[in-house]
Amino acid sequence: MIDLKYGTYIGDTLNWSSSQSYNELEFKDLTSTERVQGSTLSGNRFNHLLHSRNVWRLTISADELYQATKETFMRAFYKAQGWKWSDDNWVTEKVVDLLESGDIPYKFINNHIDLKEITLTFIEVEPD
Amino acid sequence: MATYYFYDDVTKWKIYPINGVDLTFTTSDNIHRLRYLEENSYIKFTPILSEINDDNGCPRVVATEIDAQFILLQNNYSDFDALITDIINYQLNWVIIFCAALNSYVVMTISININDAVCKTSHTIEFKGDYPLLTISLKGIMKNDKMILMSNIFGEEP
Repeated sequence: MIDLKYGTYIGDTLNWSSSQSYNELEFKDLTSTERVQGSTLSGNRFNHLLHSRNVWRLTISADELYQATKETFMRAFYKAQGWKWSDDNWVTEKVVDLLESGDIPYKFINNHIDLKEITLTFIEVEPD
Repeated sequence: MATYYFYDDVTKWKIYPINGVDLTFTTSDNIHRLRYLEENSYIKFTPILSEINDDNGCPRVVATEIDAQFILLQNNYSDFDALITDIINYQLNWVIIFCAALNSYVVMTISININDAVCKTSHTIEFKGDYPLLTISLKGIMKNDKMILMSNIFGEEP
């Protein structure tokens, strides 16, 4: 079970929403790096690690999103300005950045409008 | 349509034979109790799986497809004309289905609130001798918590 909150700015203050729980389909802890790679004029290769950080891939499927409250929350979550999650009922929490933008990335199972599935990618704000 | 079931193990049933149905229509006061359906009446459940696998590498059952057919001879229902009137004028909003395997004491009741499902119903009338034979078909997707109950019937973890 994962709990999500989203933040929206009112003036200069980021206000966090109430929590919403989801029985996630998958929640994978991954690692992301950013590097400068290339070769010098003499042909030597170089590979500089700029930073690395944690990335989480979350998928919530139609067995959760059929509920109107959970689907509405997901839409508000997607267009928010801040995001955080917890997997221990907010004893600890992780403030993250949301990688996706553009149209909300719903997949429709069996092409059915009521069977939505969404995959979101959270990226750690501070690098390791 | 053939029916497939094991003698007394409902978890092995793929298609459930029906021996009775209650139908309730919106804005109609009638509850139609159809207790003597023709033998090809059935309900079938097919699990709908997630597109992505879960953390254990398996897809999850996220909804259930329903396919049902109720066949009724006019002789077997005294309010046949009222039923036809309701079918034509109103929307079906509750279906309670009674299943029982032949030669078995296993009885199962399946209740479908159409608000919890996305259903399309259709009907045809043919004649068996001099008597009308009504076939109601119901196809749809159950998307509420009841699908967990249904997936238990399949013998799968919800």
